[in-house]
Amino acid sequence: MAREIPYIAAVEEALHQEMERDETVIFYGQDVAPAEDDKWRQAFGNDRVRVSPISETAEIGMAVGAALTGYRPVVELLMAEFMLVAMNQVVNEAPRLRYMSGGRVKVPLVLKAGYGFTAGWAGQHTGSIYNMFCGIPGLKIVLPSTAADAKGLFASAIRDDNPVLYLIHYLLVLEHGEVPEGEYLVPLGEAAIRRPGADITIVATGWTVGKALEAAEQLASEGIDAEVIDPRTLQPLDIPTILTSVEKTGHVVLVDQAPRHAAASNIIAGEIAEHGFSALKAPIKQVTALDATVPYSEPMEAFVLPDEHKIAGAVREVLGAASVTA
Amino acid sequence: PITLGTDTKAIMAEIYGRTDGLCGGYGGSMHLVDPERGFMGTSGIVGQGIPQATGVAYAAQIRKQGQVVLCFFGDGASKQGAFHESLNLASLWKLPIVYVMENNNYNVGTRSDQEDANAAAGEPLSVKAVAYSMPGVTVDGGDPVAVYEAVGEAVARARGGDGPTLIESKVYRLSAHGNLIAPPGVPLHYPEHEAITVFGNREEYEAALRGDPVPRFRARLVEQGTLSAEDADQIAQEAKDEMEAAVQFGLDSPFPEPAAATKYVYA
Repeated sequence: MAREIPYIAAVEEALHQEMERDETVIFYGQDVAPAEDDKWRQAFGNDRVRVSPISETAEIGMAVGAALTGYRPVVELLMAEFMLVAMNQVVNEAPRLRYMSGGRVKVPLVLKAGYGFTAGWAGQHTGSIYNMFCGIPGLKIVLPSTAADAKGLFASAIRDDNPVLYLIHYLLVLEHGEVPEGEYLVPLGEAAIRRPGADITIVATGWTVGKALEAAEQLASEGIDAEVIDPRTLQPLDIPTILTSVEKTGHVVLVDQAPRHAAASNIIAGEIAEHGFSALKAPIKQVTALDATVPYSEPMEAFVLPDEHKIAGAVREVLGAASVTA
Repeated sequence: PITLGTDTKAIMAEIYGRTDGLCGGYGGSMHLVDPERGFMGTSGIVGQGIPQATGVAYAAQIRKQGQVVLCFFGDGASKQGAFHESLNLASLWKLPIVYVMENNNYNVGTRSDQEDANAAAGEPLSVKAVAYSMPGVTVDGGDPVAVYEAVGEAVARARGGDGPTLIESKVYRLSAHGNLIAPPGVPLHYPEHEAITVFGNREEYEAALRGDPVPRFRARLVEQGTLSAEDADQIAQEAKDEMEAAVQFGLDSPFPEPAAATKYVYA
């Protein structure tokens, strides 16, 4: 039975249900449950729920250690950028230990953080930095764009036996959506076709999925039928679903909130260029943030970011462009 | 890991990158791990194993089976943020862990008093424990009995729920950094110990050599009558034979299939 709840409530519901289901799931982080009567501490006790100091290297490193010995830690990191002070644990420890042990250990943990908070937070709390973690074998990267996915992908991330970056989008936390009650799992590595269409494939991530859908509605009124795909996880990345769509439409616009030269769309463009080139009727176009630090002042912030108008403009350009000559 | 019962043949095969290695040739000398025997692993990045060991201690605390974690690192690692963050958290949460800092007075070729404020002030490095409200103890790391007693006390404290201890175990490294594990053909950092090649202090090194803990402890045991000279010789011979057999086992073990390189990326 599904009902409408906010994205952030779906996130909490997944964690609560997984902690009820599996007592090896532990949850800690900065400012998590400082009060004695906090609902998480009341529900799961002081062993499984703790508030930690502002010590990301220790918090994430300890999650690795606890995971090695049978627990499933969920570390609340609040802002994705806070991982940057603990980059070695995220990139060079957690994802490598299973491999370097020849499969003798596993490191099931979830690093939970928000990202992309482009709402006047200026340059250090607004980044879409998941690209830095793409191409780190052993790590999974999850970017839920709907309330239902926020729940289903989180539950799957907690049950996964690998380190997972679970990155919620801070501009989506109050967005409502239909979310199933009870156990609900969305597999990691399966893209969602958010809107089927015949003329052009738009692949968008996170908050830009909604922007792509708005653009698609606008384009529909102009007689353009866009298909919108949400990869949902960047690692693993569901390339087959994207290629199938490209085979059908022959036109591609890729959307991502990260700066142009560090966007997930770069990776997707490379896969399409290599494996779907013969289906392309026009060059691929990317709509990303500009190569700039996110500015504080609102008009400049909006200028830097992708939006529905830039996406629609890119679609018109691709559909009007000359054919690619192979 | 040898103390915990890890097979020396598997360790040596791992160092040689062979398929019978402890980690199948995926990890090598810097990343030995043997979880079944409680040896939870080693990081190749200075100080980064400390928070992981602290997390193992958190798991032990909530598992409530009386387990205690021993976390080993060098004096250089105590300048890493990972060390300070971990000691603060372990003391705050009263985690069952003993931090054993092996102080050999050198970070590769840099002396401790060149990079450590406590060392420069003439203080033992165990004073770092004061900042985290835990006991800090300095012992002669070349004296196994002294180490046993200090660690034993710290383990009892940890097991009793009173939290961590920092032990500074002072012991000289009798080889230049990395020379002992460098395979033939790999250029050495320094041909001789850094005391000689960097600081021209041959006497310091030779004094340390005269204080080599292995013959020192042997002489003490024989003098006390705990061990006869013959038994001591036999123990030494058995260790030598075991190591030679391990080396031969490593050399005889086949290399892994190259295509196995894509296994174990994900669980």
